[in-house]
Amino acid sequence: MLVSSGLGASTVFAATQGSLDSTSTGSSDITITINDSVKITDVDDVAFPDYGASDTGAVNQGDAFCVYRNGGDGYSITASNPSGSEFALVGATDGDVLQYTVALSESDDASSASAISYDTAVNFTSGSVFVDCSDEADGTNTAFDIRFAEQELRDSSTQDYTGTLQLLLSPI
Amino acid sequence: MLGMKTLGWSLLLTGFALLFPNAAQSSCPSGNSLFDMALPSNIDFGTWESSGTIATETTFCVASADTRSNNPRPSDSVCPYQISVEDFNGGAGFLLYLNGNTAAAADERLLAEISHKDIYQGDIYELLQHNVQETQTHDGMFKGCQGSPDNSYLKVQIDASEFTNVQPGSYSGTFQVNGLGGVGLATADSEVFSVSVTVASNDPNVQISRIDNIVLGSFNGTADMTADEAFCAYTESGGYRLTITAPNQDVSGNFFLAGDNGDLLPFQVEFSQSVTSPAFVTVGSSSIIGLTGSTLLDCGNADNAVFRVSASEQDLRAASSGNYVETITILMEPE
Repeated sequence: MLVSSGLGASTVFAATQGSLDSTSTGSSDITITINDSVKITDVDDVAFPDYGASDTGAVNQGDAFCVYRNGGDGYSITASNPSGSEFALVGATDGDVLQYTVALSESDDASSASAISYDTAVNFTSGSVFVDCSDEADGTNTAFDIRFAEQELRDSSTQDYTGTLQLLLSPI
Repeated sequence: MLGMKTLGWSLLLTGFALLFPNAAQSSCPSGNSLFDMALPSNIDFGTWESSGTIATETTFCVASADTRSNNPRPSDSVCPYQISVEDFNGGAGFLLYLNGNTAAAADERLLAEISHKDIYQGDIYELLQHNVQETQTHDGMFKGCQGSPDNSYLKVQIDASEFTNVQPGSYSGTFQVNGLGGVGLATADSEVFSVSVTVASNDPNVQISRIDNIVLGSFNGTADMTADEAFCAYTESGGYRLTITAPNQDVSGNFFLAGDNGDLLPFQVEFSQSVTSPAFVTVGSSSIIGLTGSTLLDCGNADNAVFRVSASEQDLRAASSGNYVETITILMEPE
């Protein structure tokens, strides 16, 4: 979704008419206002493989996506769970929750992401000036990483877990 | 003033002049020598518009006497004087320069003629040469000319032929009057005056009017932004050419809007000399030539030319938030 907001009207100037002479000069002032604009695209679903008795350790998986920001200026991302108040999946059978942590990276490499707090804006320096991030090698410039701790997984009942990670992109 | 001179030194004049044809016409043997030239008025011919030869005079008092008194006695007498005029800017003649630029090219200079006379001494103008003493010798006046009219006249003339091949614009020159007078022609004085004239162009008149500002509005994320501004281009006769410039235009002719955030936003300018069937051409650093204007000053209360400004969607997306403005200047010249 493209989000924008106005910054106020431009100053109004007077056009200049030319005089009748051997040369004549007129002038016109051109004004335009650029509003804040951001867009997040190319976000994919993340499906973890089954975790069973033979599996050990934490598991994590990420996804790279595109952040457009007019002027290549700064932006923030606020991650949250639209169905709850923490980063968590919900079991399909009994409604148990499976908590996870989220990390964000201002690059398309999820492995370099830094952990973030729930529902807290995290600032980044520069988005792409192309709506489709076509200036980036893979068409992406930002990434998130989801991590389940081993004990959290072992504490969970056997069933499928699903949830939604919401990323709110804002200009700064 | 002639009546003030005594019969005695008038008779003496005859013999003195035979010995020194260009020398004193009065007796001025000794005394408290005075030679004082007043400042000649500056000359401004105004605007020359196919005006032919132009000439005018400037007058000033030249006091040359054997007394410095404001109240000369009957025994006091005036003394002869002579002047020369030099181009104060170092020219070889009496030159006026376009915009006062003494390094001006040949078609940016006007040559003036300067003549001098004394209305009480022959009243005949002598054409002066640069920095050459005049051949006439005149009697001066007592201090301050004693309430009589100025005795000394400089005539400045610029022949019509001088205007034939010079550039239009403002011309000016500065000249110094150097004089010798007093007892024995031994006292010097000098004064500086200027001459100016504006040479009007012979080009037909043109006028651009009915032009307005362009407000492209707010960019909200999609599509190019474009706006047209139509105006009236009048030509007295013949065609015209346009040159469109802007403060933030680069050397390649590219245009930029300046943001209040310090950024520059590229935009394009196009022009068409038809409003009803526009055929836009891209405007850069070069003039657009071969255009046809309206011979009606107000174009019949309509427009006959249009320029278009546009900013591409991607350039707009790449611009930081803010208000952007640029002033484009349209120079119209006859062809």
